[in-house]
Amino acid sequence: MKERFVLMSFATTHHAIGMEIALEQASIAARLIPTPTEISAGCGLVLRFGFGDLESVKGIAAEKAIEYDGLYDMSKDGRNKIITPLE
Amino acid sequence: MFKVDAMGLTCPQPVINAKKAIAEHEGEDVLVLVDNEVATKNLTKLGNAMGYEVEVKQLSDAEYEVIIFASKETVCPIEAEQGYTVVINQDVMGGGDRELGEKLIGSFLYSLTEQDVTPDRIVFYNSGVKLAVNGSKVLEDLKKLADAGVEILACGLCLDYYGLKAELAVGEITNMYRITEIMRTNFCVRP
Repeated sequence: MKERFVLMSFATTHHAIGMEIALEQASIAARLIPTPTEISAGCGLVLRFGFGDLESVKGIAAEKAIEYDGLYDMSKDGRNKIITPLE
Repeated sequence: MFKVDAMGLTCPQPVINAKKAIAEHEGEDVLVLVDNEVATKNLTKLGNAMGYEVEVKQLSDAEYEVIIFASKETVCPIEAEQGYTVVINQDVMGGGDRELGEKLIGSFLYSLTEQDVTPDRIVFYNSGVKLAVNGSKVLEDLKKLADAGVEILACGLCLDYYGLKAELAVGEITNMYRITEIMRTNFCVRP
């Protein structure tokens, strides 16, 4: 089963949780997952969401002034995953 | 070879019947007929956990034959893969702040789906059962684990206490006798 998501990394856990709450209020499906070892980030949680919501998520981050570290493309096929930085 | 017909039986009945047959027919191989792939995986886990070799054959779309070679000497216990049970007794992970505890239990269950060896089963009791009901944020992970053959068991009296008996969204209801037996006889991981 193939899956593809955007991962957003943060400097602190509070930023990550704050962003998840902001997306929940905007009814955007997103989920915090443990930061994959391929990503080096200050925080142990990254936010995972669909590619279709990328622009809305960026907009909300700007509007709420929530800083994020980076954006990544994660493709997963079973337990095999490939993570590449976006942009 | 002793034959067990477990066609049409729902999990965990085929495993229970097979276990009984192995115990009652000592020194005999046991052949189990089942109608779904998940049951073949659970039976393979059972056989391997007991140190026996197992062979699975698909006979048709919904007909599988699982042979547990219980007549042969068991393989060295070190070679036999040690299974494990995850016991979740609350809807958060660890003490401390509730918001963080919710994120941690979600992270734990997500990483469980990515482990090389997934657990044999997950047992939920007390507020832990809230993770397995409709609206839970970790259902996606639990369903993924269930599809991979992990048995999901929720304490019935706990679901009842919280008024959630009708809301169980994955796995099945169990009772304290089974929970006690599982915890007594298995290697348990408690997040």
